[in-house]
Amino acid sequence: VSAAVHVHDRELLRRAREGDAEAFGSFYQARRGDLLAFLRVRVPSAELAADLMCETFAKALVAVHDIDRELPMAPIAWLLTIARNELTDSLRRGRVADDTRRQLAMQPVELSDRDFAAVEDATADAHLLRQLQELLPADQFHALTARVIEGREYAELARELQTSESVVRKRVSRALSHLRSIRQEAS
Amino acid sequence: VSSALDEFERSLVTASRTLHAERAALTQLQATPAERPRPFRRLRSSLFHRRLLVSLAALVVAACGVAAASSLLFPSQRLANGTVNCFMATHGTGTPDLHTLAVGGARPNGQPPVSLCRRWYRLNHYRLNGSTTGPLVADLPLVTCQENPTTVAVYVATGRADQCQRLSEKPLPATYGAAAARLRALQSALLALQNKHDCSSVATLARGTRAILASPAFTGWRVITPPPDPGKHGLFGYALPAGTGGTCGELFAGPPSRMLNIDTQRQTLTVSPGPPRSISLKLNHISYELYTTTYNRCFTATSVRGLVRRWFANTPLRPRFATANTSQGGTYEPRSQRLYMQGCVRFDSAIPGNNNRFVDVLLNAHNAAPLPAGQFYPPASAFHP
Repeated sequence: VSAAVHVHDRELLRRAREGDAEAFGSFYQARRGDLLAFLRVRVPSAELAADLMCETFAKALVAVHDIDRELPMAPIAWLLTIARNELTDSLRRGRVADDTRRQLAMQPVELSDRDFAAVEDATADAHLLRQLQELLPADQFHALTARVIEGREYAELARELQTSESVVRKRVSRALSHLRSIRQEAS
Repeated sequence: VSSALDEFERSLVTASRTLHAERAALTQLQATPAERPRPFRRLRSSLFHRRLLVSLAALVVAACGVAAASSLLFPSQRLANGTVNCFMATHGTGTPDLHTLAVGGARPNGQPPVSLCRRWYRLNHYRLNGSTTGPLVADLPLVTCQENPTTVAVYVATGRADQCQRLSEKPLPATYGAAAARLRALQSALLALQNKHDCSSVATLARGTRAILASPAFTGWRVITPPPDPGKHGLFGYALPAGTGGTCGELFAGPPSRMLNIDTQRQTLTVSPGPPRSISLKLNHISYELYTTTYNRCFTATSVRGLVRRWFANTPLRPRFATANTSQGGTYEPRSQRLYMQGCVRFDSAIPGNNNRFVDVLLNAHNAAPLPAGQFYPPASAFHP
């Protein structure tokens, strides 16, 4: 999954650099949850997490359009590094920076109830994934998250795993059965 | 219910489009480098440093000019340091409504107000008078007026020379452009000030900044200096390990941002403590490499230390290590998370020592003790060579 995720992210960043602005929007959509989950557990409020996330993406955008820089090999790791630097800088400065957003003439983000829910959901999703990983064998967890959470096609997964579609289907099916049986035992 | 986080995606898309267009324009103007725009300045060449020093001199000269003609330039500077209201009509009051005000209180930071508003009009596809079928405001001719002493208004132009007067407003003063340029020059001057030395103390840098702000053009501006020991006064109640975080002054946010901590609305400049620039730049690069490598590959507690030592071997910083479970409930993407859950140890963060001779490296391991709630780093006593 990792390799495919990185390839997909890199492709989006490459397209953004070449002028497809919507591609960066897609990158934001794809990685927003990861970043919010990463930040939310490190700061005491959803507003701070969202503020840091926005500045992180603004910085990432500037870096993507800086042709002197190479695009990152592992975009999600790169994004988390920027977020971490932002957090550390914020600690030093005593406030969350908005310099890049201001340079880009972006208005401050004022969170609605829906946004608060989105931030908390992102954290809950991260918890859920962790729990799933603890419950399921690695191959089933991999297949289930790729198919159900990332919404990828069986054929694509089969190619990536160098196996047949039916094997991937079986893994997803077993993962679901496994979770069902755990639920029944619990009830 | 609208979502600000979804709105932010649209801002990113527009900004991406603008950055691409700016880069394309930059490429076209390569033949005439003196004219080309520099939206994001880089600090690399000594030629550029010299150019900034020239800007600093120009600012001093400009400041003298301001003193001589203060009655003319003071109001312009207030206006340039203020905000912009972007209207989608030929008139408006600044009060939010669906038909006239598109964006209120935007901060131009020295950009021409018309360019700033066009960006916003394009971003949200504003149409004339807020209609759903009218012409796009971004494509129409625009005019700038002085709405009040600190606010510029941008309207759709009627074509009449007296449009501002008919709205009981003044045309933008002729000196506005110079005042906006002065704000941009201020940023250049401050950048030159910081880059003059690898490390100036917070107090020295704050003093230099105050001297630059002493120009009559920036009367009322304040320099804010956070406490010199962020370990005791960290944001959110978190603390850096004692003796770390740097003792040099920093006017610009640390890498990779390199942006000035300037707030034209509150008229403040923040000087924060940080490491010397040379260390800051190296540390940023090394942190990225270590984070990416240990995110993608499995390292043991021993091998990750070897990796960190190799990266820091060519720096004056000797690593000291502490290990904790820093995930605090968060997860990584599945493959990386699997490595983490299997016991692979990864790099988390590196904070340089105040004496520039050590760096506190925090490692993240699933089986290590978690950091106490509300704590971002272990105490200094937890770090060992």
